[in-house]
Amino acid sequence: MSAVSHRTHRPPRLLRSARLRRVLRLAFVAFHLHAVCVLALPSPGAGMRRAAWKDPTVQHEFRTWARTLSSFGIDVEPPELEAFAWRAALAWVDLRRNLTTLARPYAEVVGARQPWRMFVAPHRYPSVLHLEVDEGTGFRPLYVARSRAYAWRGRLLDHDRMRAAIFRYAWPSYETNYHRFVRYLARKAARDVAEARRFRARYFKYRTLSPDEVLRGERLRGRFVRTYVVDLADLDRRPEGAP
Amino acid sequence: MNGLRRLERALAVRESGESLALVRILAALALLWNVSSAFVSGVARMAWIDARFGGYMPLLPEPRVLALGGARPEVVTLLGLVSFVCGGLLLVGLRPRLAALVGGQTWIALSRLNPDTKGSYDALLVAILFLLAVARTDRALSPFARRGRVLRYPRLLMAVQLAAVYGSTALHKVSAAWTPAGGYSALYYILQQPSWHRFDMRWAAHVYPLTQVATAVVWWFELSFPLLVAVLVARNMGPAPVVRLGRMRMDLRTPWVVTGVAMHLCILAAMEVGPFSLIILSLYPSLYTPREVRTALARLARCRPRRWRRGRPATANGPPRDRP
Repeated sequence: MSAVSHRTHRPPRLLRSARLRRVLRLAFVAFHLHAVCVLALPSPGAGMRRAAWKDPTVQHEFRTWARTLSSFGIDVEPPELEAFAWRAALAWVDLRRNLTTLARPYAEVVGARQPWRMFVAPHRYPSVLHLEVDEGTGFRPLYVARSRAYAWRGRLLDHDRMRAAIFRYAWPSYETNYHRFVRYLARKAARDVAEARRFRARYFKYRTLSPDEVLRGERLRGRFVRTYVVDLADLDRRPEGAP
Repeated sequence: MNGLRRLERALAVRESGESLALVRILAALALLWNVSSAFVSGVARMAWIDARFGGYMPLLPEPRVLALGGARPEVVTLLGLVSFVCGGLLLVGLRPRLAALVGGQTWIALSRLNPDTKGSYDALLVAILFLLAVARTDRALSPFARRGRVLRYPRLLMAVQLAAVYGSTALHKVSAAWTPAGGYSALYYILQQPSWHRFDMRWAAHVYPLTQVATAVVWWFELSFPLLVAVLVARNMGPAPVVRLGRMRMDLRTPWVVTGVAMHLCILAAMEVGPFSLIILSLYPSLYTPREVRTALARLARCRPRRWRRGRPATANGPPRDRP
């Protein structure tokens, strides 16, 4: 019995040579390091959308960089800088794709994708999700992100994964999934609020106050965008997940 | 050829297993946190189940999930349960390689189903779990610990992974707000973002200069971290002159590690970004040799109240010294 268990713990015959094991180990480490290094090279990812570059936060970046370059004697207008950055980003994406050809399949299987785009830029024009319900007397708030007073399904919606989704749905390119998300919540609202007739989702988009503005006591100013109203009577006629 | 032989030998170096075991324990806690919070909050039910079976949107065709019959409630629950069990096994150090491999694959399957709800920390967690599947982590800090020493190279790969995260995230920070051009204002404005903060952070305006200093420190910390790991790896594996050069009096790791731990504790306190801080901190023990980890754990043990102590610290007759 002990002989059998001893045999089961031995490496396969092919790997019994110490030299072969060392060579394989070296090959694995070299390839893993190659994969980690090339995949960790910066990538614009989902940011490579022309529409996303028109967001006020991104436009503010181009204005700041154009001003900075001008102070160094390089006169460039924000639109020119944007066009140059777009061409450079396309070329970089292409080069990166070639560099990562070998590493990508490996990373997919073992889970070493290296997507480290974290807090690339502060969002100067953030959005706050408002969910409201109409019981025949006008809309009243059910959930307002980060509000203690309106925290309907707060444990779910305030979870960091849903925060990520809600952050993304404020961008126009996510409209289809945003509508699916709202309709799912509308079904929940129909269950939770007996007299509910309509369900409304919208984002309050505003410019964050600078430190000086906060100290002067100024208030947030913004507007509601991406309003989507769901007639709860129509909900059952649409299948779940339809765009 | 000599260089290759030397590299082969360097990769075959063994050490005791405390550093890797500590990474295992912290990563296990992160996995347990990740799984349980997704299921307890109801996120798994909403976001990881396909619209055909009650979720809110059609999900990506993840091959591992498709093989089990698609993102149905029972499949997602089973994957969550398997991940949780793997987290438990990793925590206690029972069959940790298998647990890390299975836990990593199940977490890849779950977290990739819905690209809108995934975070960078999912990718980091599965990258760590893969390295834990490569390493032997059951040689210390476990009631099931087996005798023997472990290969050192997985620990160095973990340190490289940490450097890749910090270096890459620093290079991604293209906003002027991270630089003098934007007045080092990034952290102040990030703290104002309602998506991530735990509570109203307008009070940060009163300490704006501090947030500017913190922005500069964070960016330079992240950008320079790969250099620290390069020195560390060279010190462990480089040619003799590099190794000698690396033996400086000052421990270069201390300022980086203190800054990193402080930064992640601040993130944990002020922002809701899930288990990100715990996941990334779980790689920090890989910067230290097993002997250093043993010493630190022994010091911690001495800090416990007297009535909690049982016998002498484990290091009293510990294994031989590792190469620094």
